[in-house]
Amino acid sequence: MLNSLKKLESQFNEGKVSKRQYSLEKRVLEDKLDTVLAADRIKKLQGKEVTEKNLDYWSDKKKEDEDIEEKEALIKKYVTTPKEEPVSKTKSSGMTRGKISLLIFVVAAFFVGTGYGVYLMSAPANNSSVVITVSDSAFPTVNNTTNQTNYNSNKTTTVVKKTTTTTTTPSKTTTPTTKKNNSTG
Amino acid sequence: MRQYIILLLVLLCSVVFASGCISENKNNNTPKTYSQNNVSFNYPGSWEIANTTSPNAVVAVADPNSVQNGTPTTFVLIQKPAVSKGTNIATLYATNYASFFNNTYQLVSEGNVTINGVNALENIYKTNTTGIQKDYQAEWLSENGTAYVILCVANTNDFKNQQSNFNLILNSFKAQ
Repeated sequence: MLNSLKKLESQFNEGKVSKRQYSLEKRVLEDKLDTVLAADRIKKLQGKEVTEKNLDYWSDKKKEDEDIEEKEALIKKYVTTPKEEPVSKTKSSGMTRGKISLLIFVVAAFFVGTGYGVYLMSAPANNSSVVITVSDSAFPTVNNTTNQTNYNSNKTTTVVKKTTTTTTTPSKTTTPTTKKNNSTG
Repeated sequence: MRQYIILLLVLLCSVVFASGCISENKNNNTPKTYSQNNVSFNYPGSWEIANTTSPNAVVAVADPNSVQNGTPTTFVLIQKPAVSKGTNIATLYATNYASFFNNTYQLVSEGNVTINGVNALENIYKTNTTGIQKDYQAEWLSENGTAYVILCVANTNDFKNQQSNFNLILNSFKAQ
């Protein structure tokens, strides 16, 4: 306020400010100064510490405040803050789409894989439509007939033997006749 | 949180795919069982029961992967000679091979073996009729008075690889 007063006086002396305006502004500044001084006195009476700051402190503080205000104005004017919200919005939407598509793919792959696995487990194994035919034999075809005939002759001999035995049993009393039969067979 | 969910889903998909592949492999490796016509045996899971035109055939199982021109080169054929019950197996064996080996078949080895606790006569021979050399392993045995011939056949260059499959069948063969 003191600086303001000084400034006002210098302006009046230079003729930049009219007398009337000078008197008005001076009265306002003096009233303000009086209130500040009164407040200091009250604090003293209350026992509160009153840091009696000198006029230089108030002028420096004012300069500092003005500097801060100027800096803020400059910052607002020339420094553009990155538009985070729209960028973040686009990023989130892109990632969301990618994540959603990936999630859909994984879910689809899960169900496809599950279905395929169930199909494999339930499907009968080795379904081949090709007919397989085996024509080999442990009995060669050349010898097959001979083998069969051999087996057949064996069969006939056994039958003959059986008949002879049956005939012998009832004719035990006539054993000589059976012997004759045997010699003729 | 979303990342954990996505990772969990990826892991689940991997598990499902892997389980499907494993189960398919397991189906092929699990032996099958044949139990019909008074005989029973286990055979490889990847093999199939084949049609047969062989005389006195009981059953034939073959590897479908060895099919060439509709005929498998790797198979096991079980035949039951048409003889009466109780016929001596050695007699059958000798009669069969009395005039068996000629330009077509060549004897490799023969001897006595045990098939699932049953004494058997083994005859191993080979042939080269159609340009493909094949090995034959014939096992003659008698169970409960009934004679059987188990014929194991494979290409010569694959016979050793198929021995484990043949042994699976031979070591589990039972006749009622």
